[in-house]
Amino acid sequence: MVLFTFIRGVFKEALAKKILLTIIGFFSLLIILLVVGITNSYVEGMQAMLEAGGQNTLSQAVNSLLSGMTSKIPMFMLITLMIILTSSFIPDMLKKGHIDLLLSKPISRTKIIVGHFLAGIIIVLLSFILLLGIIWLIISMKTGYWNFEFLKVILIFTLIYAVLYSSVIFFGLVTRSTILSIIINLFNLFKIKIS
Amino acid sequence: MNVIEINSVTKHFSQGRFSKDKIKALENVSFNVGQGEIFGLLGPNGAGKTTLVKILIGITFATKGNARIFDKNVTDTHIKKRIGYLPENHRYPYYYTGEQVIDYFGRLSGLKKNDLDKLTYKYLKITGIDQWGTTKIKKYSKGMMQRLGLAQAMINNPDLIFLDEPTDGVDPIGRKEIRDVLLDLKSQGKTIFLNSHLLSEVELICDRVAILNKGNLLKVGSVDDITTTENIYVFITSDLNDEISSKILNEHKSTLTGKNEFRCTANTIEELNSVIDVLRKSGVLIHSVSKEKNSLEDMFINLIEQKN
Repeated sequence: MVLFTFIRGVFKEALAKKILLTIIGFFSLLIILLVVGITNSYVEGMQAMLEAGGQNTLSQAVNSLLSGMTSKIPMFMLITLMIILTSSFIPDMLKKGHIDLLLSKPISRTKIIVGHFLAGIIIVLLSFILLLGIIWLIISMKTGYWNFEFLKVILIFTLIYAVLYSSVIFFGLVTRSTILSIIINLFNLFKIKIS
Repeated sequence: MNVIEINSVTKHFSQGRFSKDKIKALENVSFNVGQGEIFGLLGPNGAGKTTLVKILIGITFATKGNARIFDKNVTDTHIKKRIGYLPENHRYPYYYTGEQVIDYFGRLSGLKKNDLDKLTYKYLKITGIDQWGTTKIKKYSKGMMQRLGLAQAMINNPDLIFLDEPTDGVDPIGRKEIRDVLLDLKSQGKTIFLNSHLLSEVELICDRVAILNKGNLLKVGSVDDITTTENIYVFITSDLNDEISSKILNEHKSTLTGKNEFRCTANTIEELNSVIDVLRKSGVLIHSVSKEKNSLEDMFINLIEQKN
């Protein structure tokens, strides 16, 4: 009940601060570009190119396309965007006058943190489902090849985000600064990217 | 029965994250608050009032000593179900309406949706902002925010309410309404712990007060005890002629405050009676003799100035 209240509260915050709108708008733009970009002739051309290179199946072509879209650089950009958009939840919660009210309620400190952590993860999971799910759907419909394995990427990206978000929360609690928390975590993410 | 028991509570803060220097926010503070009392905590800025309230609510922890509420340690989360709190400079999500604020904090207090639907309207009405319940709080005035904060503090029907500057920014009529709400809560047997700078208000509604200065407890007692002077009496009599006036002024430590009123210092009951004897022998009619009372503000200022 309490966790649900926090999750609902963070969703309202994301709506009010237009975080959800930004996510949906940006992802819609990417999806539109994909729809416009991946024409039937593009798919045929890609298949012909792969055949010339010795890869002669449609499934390989689709897998190459999908893995290219979810390789390190797009992943880095996507998770960076999500970290930036969601990193203010914890420092905002910690602002004087608000945290005092939360701590005066019959809730443990752990629940307060876990509630906000889960809310951030749910927002990002839904965003990734929206973006990567629709990308997968479009490519699958265009090519006729349904690679369900690709959907695991949604969970992997969410997991990477969760690890980094826990770090955002930690540094947010220690520094009480959104900017510093973002910088530290982008540095961490950069280390993951280059490793 | 004591609702709050504070035993030698001490709180030291570090001056900075890596500093070894400590700020002494509270030093061995001890007092109790009984059930059904309106208790006022007074002190100048930086006296440690808010720190003490935060320790009592479990927001921060004492360096030494302990505090108990409802006979349980203040670190016990469960006692918070029976506590309401209005912090100073409270901050609610600006994108909420008044009703949503009450609903959000009501849920966090453990209330169910069905109860909240009824209680939200009830407490917004009690605090006089029911007509603004569906308005976004970013449009609220300071006074309306205080009323909303009070409604939020009462939503779980607490037995003990901590109010930090509840009338800050509220107009005189609003302050009167808030006072009435507090007195109504008292009549229901609730205990109210009030932290306020408005001494005239504290004097009006508090049963007992404690005065803190630089983390030290200076005085605890009923408002009457604290404001009544020990040995200064106010006499109201029939008109005093020059002879009587000069006799009283010369022979007794007195000052005339009017044609038929004077203040007299009497350290013993015998001294007081000797003044009465002088008056009676001279045929002066005594209308009343009472111990002089200072306003809480005068007493507070004198006390703090003495200690500083």
